[in-house]
Amino acid sequence: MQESRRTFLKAAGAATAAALVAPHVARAATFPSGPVSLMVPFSPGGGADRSMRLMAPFLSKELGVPVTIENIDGGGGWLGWSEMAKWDPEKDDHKLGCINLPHLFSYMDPRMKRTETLESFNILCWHSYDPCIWAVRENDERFLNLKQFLDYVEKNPDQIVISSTGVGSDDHMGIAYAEKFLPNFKVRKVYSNGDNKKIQEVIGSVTDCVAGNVGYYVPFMLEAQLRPICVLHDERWSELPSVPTFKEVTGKENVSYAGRTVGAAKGLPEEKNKVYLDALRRTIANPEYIIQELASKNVLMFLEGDALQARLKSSADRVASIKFWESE
Amino acid sequence: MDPTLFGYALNVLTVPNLAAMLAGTTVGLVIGAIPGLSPPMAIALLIPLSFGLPPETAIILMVSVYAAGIYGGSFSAILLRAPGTSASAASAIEGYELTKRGKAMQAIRISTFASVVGGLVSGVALLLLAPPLARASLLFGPAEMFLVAILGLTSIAAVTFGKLFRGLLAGLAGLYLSTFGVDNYSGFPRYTFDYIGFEGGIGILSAIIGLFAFAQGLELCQAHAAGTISGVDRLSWNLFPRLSEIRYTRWALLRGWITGLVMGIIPAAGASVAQWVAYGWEIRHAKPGDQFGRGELKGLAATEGSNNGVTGTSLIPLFILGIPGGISAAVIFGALMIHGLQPGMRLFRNNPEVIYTIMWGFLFANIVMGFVAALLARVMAYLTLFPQGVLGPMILVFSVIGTYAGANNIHAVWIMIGFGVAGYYGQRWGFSPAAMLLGLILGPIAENGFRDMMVVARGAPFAYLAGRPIALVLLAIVVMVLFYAVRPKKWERLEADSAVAAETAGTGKT
Repeated sequence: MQESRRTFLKAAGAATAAALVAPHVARAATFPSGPVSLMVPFSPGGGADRSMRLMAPFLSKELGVPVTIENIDGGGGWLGWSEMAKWDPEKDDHKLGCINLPHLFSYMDPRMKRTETLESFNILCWHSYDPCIWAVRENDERFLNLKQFLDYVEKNPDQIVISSTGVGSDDHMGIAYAEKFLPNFKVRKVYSNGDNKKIQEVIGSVTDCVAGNVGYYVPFMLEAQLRPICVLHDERWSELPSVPTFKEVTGKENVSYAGRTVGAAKGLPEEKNKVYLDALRRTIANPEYIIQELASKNVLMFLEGDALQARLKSSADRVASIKFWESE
Repeated sequence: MDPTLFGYALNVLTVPNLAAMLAGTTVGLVIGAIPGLSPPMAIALLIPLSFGLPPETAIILMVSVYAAGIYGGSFSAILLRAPGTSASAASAIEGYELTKRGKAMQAIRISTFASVVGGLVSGVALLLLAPPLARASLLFGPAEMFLVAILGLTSIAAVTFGKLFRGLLAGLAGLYLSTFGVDNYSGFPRYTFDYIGFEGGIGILSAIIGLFAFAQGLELCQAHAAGTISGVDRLSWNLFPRLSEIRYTRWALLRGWITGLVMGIIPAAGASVAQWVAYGWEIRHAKPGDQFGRGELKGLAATEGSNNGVTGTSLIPLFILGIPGGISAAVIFGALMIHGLQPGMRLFRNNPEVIYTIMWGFLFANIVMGFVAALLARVMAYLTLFPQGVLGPMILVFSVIGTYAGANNIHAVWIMIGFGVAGYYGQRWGFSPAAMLLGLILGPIAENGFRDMMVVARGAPFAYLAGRPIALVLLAIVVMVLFYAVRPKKWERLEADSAVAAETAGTGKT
């Protein structure tokens, strides 16, 4: 009864709508047919939020409909992602969401008892990539490079304090890797939700080293406040050609990064996926948008198809091998 | 000091900049007054828009929204006991009591004066003292943050108005609730009770709307439907404070402004902590005859002075060190970056005209805010003439909409309603909702400060503390304040005194 009534109302509504827009029937058939919301699972003002807000107007131009940002902040992104995993491919086809890596992989932590996995999401493309770095104070004479830093840690176990974002973040993952795969790497860690507290701690000499991302920390290096000692990437990073990788110094490939991807409802029909993906591809290649992101020190990296899947898999494998949840 | 500093003041006086101030303060006041819509959200919405504007105009627009948003929250706090932002929650206590006694316009007048002058004082500090204050802000490490939070928590004793034990219980409940959600040290959410809504922790937004606005809506729904909050049917037209009012509140104002200035440079403290510290201070210095808890102008002057006193100095770590202290500052930071302006000392060397124009813009925006506020206040104050039977349901509906608009998830709304019921009964039975809110706001600062301190102290916390002068000073203040607070007879005595004062008022005997 209820159902038939709803169907009737729907049909009536559609008929009315069709009558109203009769001259534009062709447009009514296009997708998306109305505003698209772009969910950001963090608070306004954060890195993901800033980047998505910059992208929204460009994406909106490509899609031909308004794109609005919706912040669902909390649970290290999971308040938003657990909603996203439940999106209905029909009802929620006008929703996109930002998925941050490696943060999403925290579902692997058995304590979390999460039912979601990578398979619960429909990741359309990679959006940006920011490798991790370790940096010390510019005027800290104890260690000028990673080699000296590691030696110092070895001679003074449990004395060096590193500022990092919380357990399970990309910054923590890099430290957890070192703890697991380097002998004699015993350090203390102070955790934060964001970079401002970390930078305050290291510049204010509360801690000795900071684990962060290139994008946020390069400006502080230019201000001669911080000195990068290594980048956690498979090769040297183009923006910091003089900074060695972790592997160059230790022989161990410690790769960690903050990545953003954009996803839609799981099970969304292929043609709708394609509309979004085409629009995202053109947006991320738009020079005007690239310039804006560069100004915010954000490096865009578009990946789709097999390249996307390969990167997702290698990242998942790395997190699974580090088992960061065992580090505490 | 740079002799050309004053020259930059003229840069502000262009049509686009003045328009930005006018638009920014108006938007800020309105957004700030509506519970759920916060200044950071409004500033974030301006990010894409700011592209088409010259950088200084874009940032002036944003700092105008910021300053006015902090102040705008007090409208709804004073008039309806529904604080628009967490920065104005403390103003809801004395402010609303004043409104109930038919003194809404007096409350608005003093709140405007306290806020505008507080913003100006803070703006002057930003302009003249930024580099040394930035260095001072770096002296605040985990130990200091822990003690600042403890100092804030001592205000619980002050806001319980004689019901110390119940107030402490409410504060403890707030502290407990503040531990919900993901713990950075383990990456694991605590106390979720398998409810996804708790995984993100308890949002301050839900708490503040629930404890104050929603509870107030319930209260009004059962009050005499045709009656009004204030019982008066006319509003005063006097929008500028009288000299006698300023004289009466002068020390409270001064203490509020200073508290704000200092709290502004402390990372992560900000307006929502400053107001309680300032308020607690006033209550502890209450004189016989003062009406704290029943509509004391001095209390309102202190809270309103302190939260806007924060606005200017809180931009100092951002401009000088490139470290944004709060969410609003983080959004402004992003906007600067988009315009190719990396906050920090290099900005002062390379683009002094931009940064100083912004600072002057902030100063002028506070003056513009005063005028816009005077006009808006009068309009908003009409709300107090509405019948309670209309206002109550309206507030309930707006609480739900506001929470959803702010958090974008339905769990936040359920949690808000939970707080609403707790706030309603808490208020009736003497479990101070303010104490609970204080616990919630300060809990994470205290917890993280303490845990971080234990890590960086490398196993010797007392030796570590002894080597940090600011921490020692804070510790001394906390001990002093606690000494005041645990004299249980004090409130009873004050109550008795003021009762006597009220009875004998007009007869010449005191």
